[in-house]
Amino acid sequence: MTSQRRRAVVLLLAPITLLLGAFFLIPLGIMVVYSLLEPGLYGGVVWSFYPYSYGRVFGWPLGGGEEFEPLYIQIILNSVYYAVITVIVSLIVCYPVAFWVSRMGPVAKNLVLFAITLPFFANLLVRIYAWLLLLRPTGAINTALMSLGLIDAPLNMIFTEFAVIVGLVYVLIPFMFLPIYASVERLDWSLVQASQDLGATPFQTFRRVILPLTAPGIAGGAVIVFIPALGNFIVPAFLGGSKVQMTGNVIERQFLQSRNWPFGSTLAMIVMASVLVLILLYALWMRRAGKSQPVGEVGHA
Amino acid sequence: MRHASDHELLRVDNVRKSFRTPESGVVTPLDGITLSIRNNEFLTLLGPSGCGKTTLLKTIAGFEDLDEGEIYLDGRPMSGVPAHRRPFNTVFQNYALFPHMTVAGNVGYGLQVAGVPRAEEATRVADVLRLVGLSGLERRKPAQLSGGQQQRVALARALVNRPRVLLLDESLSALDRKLRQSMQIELKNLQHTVGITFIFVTHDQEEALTMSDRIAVMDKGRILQLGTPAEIYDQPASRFVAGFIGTSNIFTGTLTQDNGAARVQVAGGPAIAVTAGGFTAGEQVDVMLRPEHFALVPGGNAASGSIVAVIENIVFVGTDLHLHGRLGNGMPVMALERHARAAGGLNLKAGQTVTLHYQATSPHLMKSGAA
Ligand SMILES: Nc1ncnc2c1ncn2[C@@H]1O[C@H](COP(=O)(O)OP(=O)(O)OP(=O)(O)O)[C@@H](O)[C@H]1O
Ligand SMILES: [Mg+2]
Repeated sequence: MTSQRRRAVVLLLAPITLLLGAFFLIPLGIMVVYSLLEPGLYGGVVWSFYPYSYGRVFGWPLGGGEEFEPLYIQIILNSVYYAVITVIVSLIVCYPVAFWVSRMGPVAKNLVLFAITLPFFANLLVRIYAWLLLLRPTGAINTALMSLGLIDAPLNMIFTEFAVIVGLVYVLIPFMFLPIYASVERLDWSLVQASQDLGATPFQTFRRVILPLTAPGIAGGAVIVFIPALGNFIVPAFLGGSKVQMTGNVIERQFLQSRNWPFGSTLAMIVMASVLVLILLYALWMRRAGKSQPVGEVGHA
Repeated sequence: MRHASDHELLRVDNVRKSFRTPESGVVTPLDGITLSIRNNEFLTLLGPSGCGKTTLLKTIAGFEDLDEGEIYLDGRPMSGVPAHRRPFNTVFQNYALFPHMTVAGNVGYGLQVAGVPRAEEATRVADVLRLVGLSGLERRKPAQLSGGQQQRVALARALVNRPRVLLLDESLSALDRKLRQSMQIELKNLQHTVGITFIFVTHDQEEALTMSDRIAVMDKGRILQLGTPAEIYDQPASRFVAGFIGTSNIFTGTLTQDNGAARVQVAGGPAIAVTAGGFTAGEQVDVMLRPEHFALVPGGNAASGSIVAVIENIVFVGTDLHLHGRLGNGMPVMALERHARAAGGLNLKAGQTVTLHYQATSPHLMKSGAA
């Protein structure tokens, strides 16, 4: 690029960059700062350095009502666990379905893709409330199972881990499906034939050709399901009742009920930091996978 | 040294295959193909684009189910045998190299899935890469190779497994002339030393003529003629086949017989003296004369066994001159003259009238209008 063109590009990109910067970085900066400020007595903050919010999570509390509480780490780990299960379940559902859909005729294919994006048109709260109606003891599922005589008493589904995971999977599954579907659709079927032609069994073909070539879709889907699952608070609030807590709920309560903004910010920062570390690990892993074969010089042997 | 034996290795028996297409409904790339391939034979499929060559290879390899018919290997029906259990390897028209594996990984793949020990795999991969001239590129990914290099990887990947039958789909097309010739020699060597049977698709008629034990000329899902290169060249079954191999002059006319002298009377043109074996007087026939059948004499002296033409264009191609001319009635004709002879006193020029003599046994008769 000539320097003139580069200048033009900078000029063109400047407004959008500033806008994005304003909308993403400033709130983030506020969170960072708040997490290190002293909570005001009746909400708000007092402008003095105060590392004890972190202390409450990791073990150097100020004392006097602000105690070290291992429960917070426990809840964060629990949230990671729910997020991981959500990723695994949606992966197991989406991967085979993606292959099935990719082999459909064009009309059926578009219909399915439309159906998968359809839930986005309805309000999230309404959709989750629908699950509440489905899962509760007098709900549709229990009623159906009992009238079929499969069970005697209603199953206890609502306000359990199970309900939360069902809800998370339900909300996030499109985000798993779309990247996987894209990578499956892009998969060159002649490579599968080449593998068979060279004598590979169906399992060998899957493990050595299909899986590696669709791995980017799997990884992409996993990341964009994991992150919102980890921070989700609506699903556990509706379907988890008081039994299932996720960090999202705790953070929400700090902001809206306890009005301890610094502590809410602290928890949010911790969750964000762990996500960033995970993504970093993922990126490093991808780079290593891509680099495991050195590029070598291009030229004739 | 092994030679194609009479033992039948592969039999394609009345195979039919159609596809539904989005635009026109149905195409039938295999419309009743029957083919017997001998052990250790080099068989070439020749035909225009879209005539079903790739589809035939794919049905043999096991990637397409047959609508009708059966394929036998050593007399054993193959329809229940999945592709990965067939002792065939394919070099795909689009190469189909695994993008996430190195050259060595691609070539070694067949050995790895077969459970060949690592050490043996390494030596065999190194050997075959040397054979195709790719030593030193083992660690490259396919995207880092030129088209011709990719094609050679595809070839090596199939060769390394020493299959019974090697299916090659235009597998030398991306190579330069020199490399292509050396690969042709290598393939012929392999045919003789290892005893692989080849089914080879090419658009290069010279390649077809030099490499093949037999050639099958296909069109629209059918085999029009199956024979040795010389048979196809000298006695094509139809105008289509003749046009596909070599250059030819083909005239349509009516066969006449008088006093044992057979001629083909071309409408508004010359009468061509022929040997009428197998045809009867009054029949519409195509008569073929190859450019090298003509012996050229300056001046227009029409007699039996010759035609008179005016030279329009002289193309120098090295050892030969290609003479493009027209008959009295405007029909194009092409003749061949050795450059050495032409230079040594013939002094040919455009606009010159010449007489083209031929032997009465040279013209080849074909049914007119035959596919
Ligand atoms: N999967 C398919 N679905 C529909 N039509 C197909 C399919 N595969 C091949 N065809 C059609 O069948 C015909 C034969 O195709 P094929 O690939 O066998 O041709 P080919 O002889 O190999 O041609 P080329 O020399 O161009 O490679 C073509 O008209 C093609 O469009
Ligand atoms: Mg083809």
